[in-house]
Order: sequence, then structure tokens, then C-alpha cells
Amino acid sequence: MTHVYSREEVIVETLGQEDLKRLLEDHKRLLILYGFANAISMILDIELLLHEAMNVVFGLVDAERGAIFLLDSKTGQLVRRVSRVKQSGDKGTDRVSKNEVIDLVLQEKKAVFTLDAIADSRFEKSRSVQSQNIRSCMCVPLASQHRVLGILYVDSRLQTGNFSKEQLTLVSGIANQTAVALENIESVHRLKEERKRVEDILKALPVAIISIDETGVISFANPQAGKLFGIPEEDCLGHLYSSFFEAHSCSPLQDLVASALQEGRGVILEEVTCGGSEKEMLLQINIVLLREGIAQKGVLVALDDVTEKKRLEREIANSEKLSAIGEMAAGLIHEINNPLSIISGRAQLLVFEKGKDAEIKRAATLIREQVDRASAITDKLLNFARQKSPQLSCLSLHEFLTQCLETMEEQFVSKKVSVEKKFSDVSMTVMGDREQLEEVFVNLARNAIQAMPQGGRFIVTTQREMGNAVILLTDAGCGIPPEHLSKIFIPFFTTKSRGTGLGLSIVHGIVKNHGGTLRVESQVGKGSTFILTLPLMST
Amino acid sequence: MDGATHGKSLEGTVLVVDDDPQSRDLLNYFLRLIGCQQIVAMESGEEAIDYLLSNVADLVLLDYRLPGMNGLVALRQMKQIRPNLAVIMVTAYPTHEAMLQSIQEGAYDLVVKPLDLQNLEKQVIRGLTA
Repeated sequence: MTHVYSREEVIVETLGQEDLKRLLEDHKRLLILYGFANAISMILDIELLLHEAMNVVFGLVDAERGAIFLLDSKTGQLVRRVSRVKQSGDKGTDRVSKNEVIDLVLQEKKAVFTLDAIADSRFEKSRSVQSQNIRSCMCVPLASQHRVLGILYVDSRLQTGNFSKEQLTLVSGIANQTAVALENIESVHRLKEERKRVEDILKALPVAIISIDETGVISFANPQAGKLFGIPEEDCLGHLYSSFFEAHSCSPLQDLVASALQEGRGVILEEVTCGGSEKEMLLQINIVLLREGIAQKGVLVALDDVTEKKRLEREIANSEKLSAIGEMAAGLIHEINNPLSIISGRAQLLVFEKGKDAEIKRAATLIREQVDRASAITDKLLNFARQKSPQLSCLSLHEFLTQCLETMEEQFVSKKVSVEKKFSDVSMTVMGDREQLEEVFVNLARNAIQAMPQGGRFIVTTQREMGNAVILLTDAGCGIPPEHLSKIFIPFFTTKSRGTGLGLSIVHGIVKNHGGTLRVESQVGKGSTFILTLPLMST
Repeated sequence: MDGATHGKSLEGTVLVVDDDPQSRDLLNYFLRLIGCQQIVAMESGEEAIDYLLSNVADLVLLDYRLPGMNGLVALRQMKQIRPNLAVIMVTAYPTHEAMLQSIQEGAYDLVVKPLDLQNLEKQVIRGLTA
């Protein structure tokens, strides 16, 4: 039977021993190159990469010394990062240092190959080449897309003609692969840095940030988000947003995120109330869609707790409104009192003039009485409007409050109101007008008594907060309906059948003139707490 | 109003300064009723100062809130021209500051609108006889 030889068999059959040996060598080199290509794809450390490259080069060529230099991106200087020396008897083991061969490669951006450097005309005047007695030498740039990142260098000071042109091709290939790998590592580092920078920005933002991926899982939360929900930020991660928001009583937020994810609709500056009755908060929400091309990759939710901000805004608006009313009242008093004076004066003249009819005198007396009644109201309005500057003196707060309560003891007892003092252990001194502040506390205490017609408990609590004394006056009375809460400090607003509605507006004005604040928290049927702050005297 | 009943006349010139004509009329009528013989009514502080530079007055009823030169400035200038002049400030807006400043500027007294004419009669008599 005739054997038909394949093309490969014909080649092998016709090869001589030398050819076969060379082929095997080439095969071995190829394997080394493939191995190197595989190995560096996994390496993300520059030093490791360069060591691996050096090892491979030493496996391919019979070099005495080798080194890889990289250009420092900041200084532009060439820095030796890896070097290797084969033990070489009397020639010593000194490492590669910069020489004219390296300079030439850097300058021309292409490989230099020489069989005997000291005899090479290009280096006959090169001091370092001559003094180091460099014979065989290969030096290639580590270049990627025309950018030189560094130099790969091997030499031998023992022998001439140690390296071949084929080896130069191989070493250049390794240099190119190394350069590409270096760029990849740089890109990965840049990406990591960029990611860290973005995360740092998100962490530093004063609002809570939560990132939710396309599957609805929370993938990022900044510290403010953790603070908002009262848990460490890392505990927010990995949850489905729906169950997470539901567990934190944030159903309105859950709905907004759901429509953003499902319908691709962002949210701008929407305000929702969350947190349940325990920790009710007003959140200002922005939801931004995260996209990659046209594909939606989840949403970024920014939550700003504006509860306190809104409360302060309301307080400021209220305070400004009261100031405006005060100014208006001042003008009003003047304008009303002038005609009242004429009406009253004419009526008084009618009463005292001789020869007037008794009926006229009786009518004039009546006119005067009614003018006096109107005048009593303008008098009270005046108290609110006159914004008298407080005559300040140092007041020991607890002593002062105790005295105020003592002056009202009879009223408390007769109305079956028990007084409880919950004073702070720290003594506090405020600057205040004793007479005016007494009016404040007596007025508020009297309101508390009136709010508890069946009697009850009146608690006076003091606390120190930052630079302020905080005084809480709590009654267990009927409470103030929510629709009345924003109006109670406005002049003439009253729910009492008898009363001018000026008491609380005067109280508010006095506290404001003392640099303090006054607000109220109330629940119908449970009672009210008036919260008063006064600046503490700096010690 | 004793003057209205006893019919005695009060010596001296009383100057009434008020921008409101009805107020001026009321005071004019009232002052005559209690026996004042010389009453001069003016509607501004400037006019009153002009008058005092060349005329004598014994008592001034001066409104606190006047257009132009206000009552307090007018009071200060009147006291510069005639340090012993008795000036009763009349105000429809009696703030703590207004009272304090009036006293500091040398006002003889301060009355509040709506006026109590019985009290005002006593203050006028005291002012004219001081």
C-alpha cells in the first residue's frame, strides 16, 4: 500500500538536523511569547509586569545585564524600575545605568542594535559606552501609539555578537506588549481614581445620595443617607429599594423611584413627607436617570431633609409678617387716636358746657365712654407695636422662673393646676428685661391655666442648647387646632370669647426683641408646648 | 372743667401747634372755655419757631408727630429760644421712647390722645401759673 505523505511530513523529512533544531527553538520562543501575553493580561501591578517582561527577555536572549526604564509622567525623567544582572565573574555585577545607547533610542524613538558597541562608529565618542566596555547591546523603546513610555535594554560586556536580528524582533514584540499592558494598567488606575473622586464628591455632598441599579437594588449610599435613615451607610446597600423605603416609612419616595425606574421619568425638587409619625420629616427629592447609551442603568436619588429649613422659613416669614403688622399698627394707632381725641374732646365739652340739654349731656357721656373703650384697644395694640427696647440686666433663669411661678401660685391653686419644674442641672444666666420677660411667662402660664379648665399639670422645663437657654412650657390642655397654629402670634387673633388677641403677639414681640425665638407645638386633646429660646449671657 | 364754670380768665399766651385743623379747633375752643384769653394756633413746627423768634408765648401745646419738623425737634429749638417756656407735648402714639425723649428735651408735661380735658385743664393752669 502506497503511503501518501502530508505536506508537513514532506517538510520534516526534507529538513536537516540544524533546521529542525532552529524550528524547535523558534517554537519555544513562540511559546514564551504566548505565555507572556497571557500572563500580563492578568497583571495590574507595574513592578510585577516589568519583572515578568525582564524574565521573558532573559529566557529568550543570552544577556549579561538588562533593565527597564520608565519615563516619569510628572518630571519627564527616565527612571530605572527593574534591572537584572547575570553573575559574570571578574566583570562585576553592576547594574545598567543610563548610557548613550539609551539616549539614542529615546531620541529617535526606535530600536538600536549593535554587535559591538565600543567598536560601533555611533558610540566611539560615547564615554559611558566606552568606559563600561559595552559589547553586544539591544535597546528598544516601550512604545504605544507613538508614545514612548520607557526603554527596555539588554547588553553583554563579555562577548560581541551575542544577539541576533531575530532576537531583536522578539524583544521588540515583548516591548510593545509591555507598553500596551502599561497603558492598560494606567487606565485602570485612572478609572479607579476617577471612581474614588466621584465617590468622594458624593460622600461630601450635604444631601443624602442613594444609587439604585436597574434591578432595583441599592448599590451606593453616602454617609448622609445612612444618617437620614438612622443606620450605617453600608447597611443601606444590597436591599431592594421598595422593601428598604417601606421599612423606613418612606412609601411616597418608593412610588417616585418606581415611576422613575419603570417609566424613565426623573424627579426635580419634589417634596414629600416621610418617616411616619415617629420621625416625620419633609424630604426634598431629586431623581436622576442613569443611562448607558439608550439603556437605563438605574437611578440616582438625592434626598434633602428640609424639615428644619422649612420650619425656620415659616418662622422667619411669620416674624416678618409680625414686624410688618407692628409697623402698620403704629401708624394705625396714631391715625385712630387723633379722631378719637376730637370725638372725645367734643363730647367732654358738651358735658361740661353750661346750658346744654340733659339728654345731650347723657348722649355725650355715652360717646366719651365708647371712645374710651376704643382707646383701650389701641392702648393694647400699642403694647404690641411699640417694640420697646428691653432694659437689659443679668437674670439667673431658674431663680427668675421660680419667682414668676410664685407670683401666680394663687391662680394655679384655685384652678387646680399643679406645677412641675424640670430645670436643667446647669445654671443659666440670660440678659433680659425683668419686667418684660415676666409679662411673657405670666401670659404664657395664664394661657396654660385657661387651656386646662378642669385643672391639670403645667411643666416648666429648661435646657441648655448651644448658646441658648431653651424653656419649654407644657400644658395638658385642649391643644391648638393645626389651622390656628400659624396664626396665634398675629395681633387680634383669638379663640377666646373675651380677649383682644394681643397677648401672644406682645409676648412674641418681647421675645424677638430679646434676640430669642418663640414657637409652639400642639396636639388637639393632648396639650401644647411653647418653646422659647433666649440667648445665654456669654461667660 | 372749673374754668368753664368759674369764668375766671387765664393770663398769658398759649400756642397750639397741631397739623390737624379739627384738633386745633378743639383745643382753641377748649382753651377759650377754660378762660385763656390769648390763643395762637399754628399748623407746623417751623411756623411756631418763627413766631417765637419775635413773639412771646407762655405755654405751648405741641403735637409730637408733625409733618416736616417733628414735635421733638421743634421742642428742642423752642427751648433754645426760650429756655423757660412751658411746653406740653401732645401725642397720639405714646411710646416709652417718646415720653423719655420729651422729658429729656425739657417738656413740661406730656398728654395722650384721646385727651382727657379735665386733666388737660389742670395741666394748662399749672403751666401758665408756673
